[in-house]
Amino acid sequence: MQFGLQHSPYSYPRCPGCGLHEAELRGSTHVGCPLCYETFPELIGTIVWEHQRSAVHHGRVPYSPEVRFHIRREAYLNALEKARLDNQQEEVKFLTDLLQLLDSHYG
Amino acid sequence: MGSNPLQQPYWLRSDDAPHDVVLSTRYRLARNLHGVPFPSRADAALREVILDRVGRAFRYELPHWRLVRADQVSPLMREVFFEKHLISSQLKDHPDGSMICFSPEGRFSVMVNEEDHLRFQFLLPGFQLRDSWRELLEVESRIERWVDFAFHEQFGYLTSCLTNVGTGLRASVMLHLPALSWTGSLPSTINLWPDQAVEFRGLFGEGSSMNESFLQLSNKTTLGADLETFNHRVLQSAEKLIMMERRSREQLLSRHRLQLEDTIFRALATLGAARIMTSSEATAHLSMVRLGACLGLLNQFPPMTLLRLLVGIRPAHLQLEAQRPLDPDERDEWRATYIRSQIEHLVEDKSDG
Ligand SMILES: [Zn+2]
Repeated sequence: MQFGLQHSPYSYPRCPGCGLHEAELRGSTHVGCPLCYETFPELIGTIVWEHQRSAVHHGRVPYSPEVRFHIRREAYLNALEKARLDNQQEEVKFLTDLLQLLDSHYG
Repeated sequence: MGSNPLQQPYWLRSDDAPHDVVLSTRYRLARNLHGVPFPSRADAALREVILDRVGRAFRYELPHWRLVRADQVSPLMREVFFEKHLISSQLKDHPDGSMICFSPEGRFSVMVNEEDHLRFQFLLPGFQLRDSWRELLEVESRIERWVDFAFHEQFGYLTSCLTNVGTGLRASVMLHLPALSWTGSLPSTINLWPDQAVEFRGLFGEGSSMNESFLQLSNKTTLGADLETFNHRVLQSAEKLIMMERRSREQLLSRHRLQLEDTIFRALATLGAARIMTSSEATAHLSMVRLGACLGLLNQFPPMTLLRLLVGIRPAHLQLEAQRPLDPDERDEWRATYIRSQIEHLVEDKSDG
């Protein structure tokens, strides 16, 4: 075997999120993680077009960061209250940390 | 607390929306967690983290739901869930690090760590494609209070398979088309279907047989239009097929009534007398009996009861009934016995009434 004459899949780019190689993606319809879409946007766009005859999303979107912050904060506070009422100490601690993390991110 | 996953799901239990052609309506919504590898690339530890995060969201937001670890359910029960359309073939065969969430009234089931992190399913009896998908989005929104979904400006909601990316929604109806099947026009009807945005599958999804008179119709694509549009495309195709099937039934009744009655009553006689019956033979006969019931020729057989029978004769349901594993020959014997007893029961009920 002569080195350099054949393509090694390892010479292709790979996704930093899941390690998927571009070579693995060619001829497939499966990706490994959300970051694959950022890593191989053109190739994915081509594959998506082949199957869906479109490559642009319409309609529903997730909560905006602001709405998400308020909704999530309320959900965490309600959960914290319940955990306190049920005297679940570990859960209270977990939810308190979660709440602090949320506040430090968005607050 | 919570629902009993062993109870009959709503789509097999409720007589809310009986329909002569559409057996059930199903919505499936795929969602994934932001920044987390999809289940196929997640190791055992990561799958546990995903279960923990999603499980917490369910416990606080939907406390009456029953959460069941798929790898702690016996293979037989997973098969039963699959036959009831509550889980996919993939989750049935690969349960490690996966979970199934059941809503109390049996209308929703959510698969966690199947092909995607979350697969929300909404199952309804009859033809309910109008705007029932909005209820599914309410469940999705509750979970979104706790987790960020993977989303891309261009591609929409990100999924493991590129054929689901975008809305992530698959709307489908299970159709009973015995008249189109009987006249032999069903294969060409499907093959020449004008709307390329929809597709047909067998009764049990991808790869299952389409030779029978039962078919699933669903949207083929998930990108390029909003949820309403995809739903509407399926609705339009379904309505067209319903009209064709009804017209075909009317024609059969007016032009070939004797032959049709003969086929239906022979099917009933076979079901009521056979000692050995394969699944495909039973399905074909039940299809004709259901047609007879819908045409008013067999009023003692409510279509919903026949639908339950159609699911009850599947291999896992028979083994659950027998409370032991059955080999294929034993299953054929059990199936025939089970059907005979159900038919006798229905006939007795009618004569008592
Ligand atoms: Zn990736």
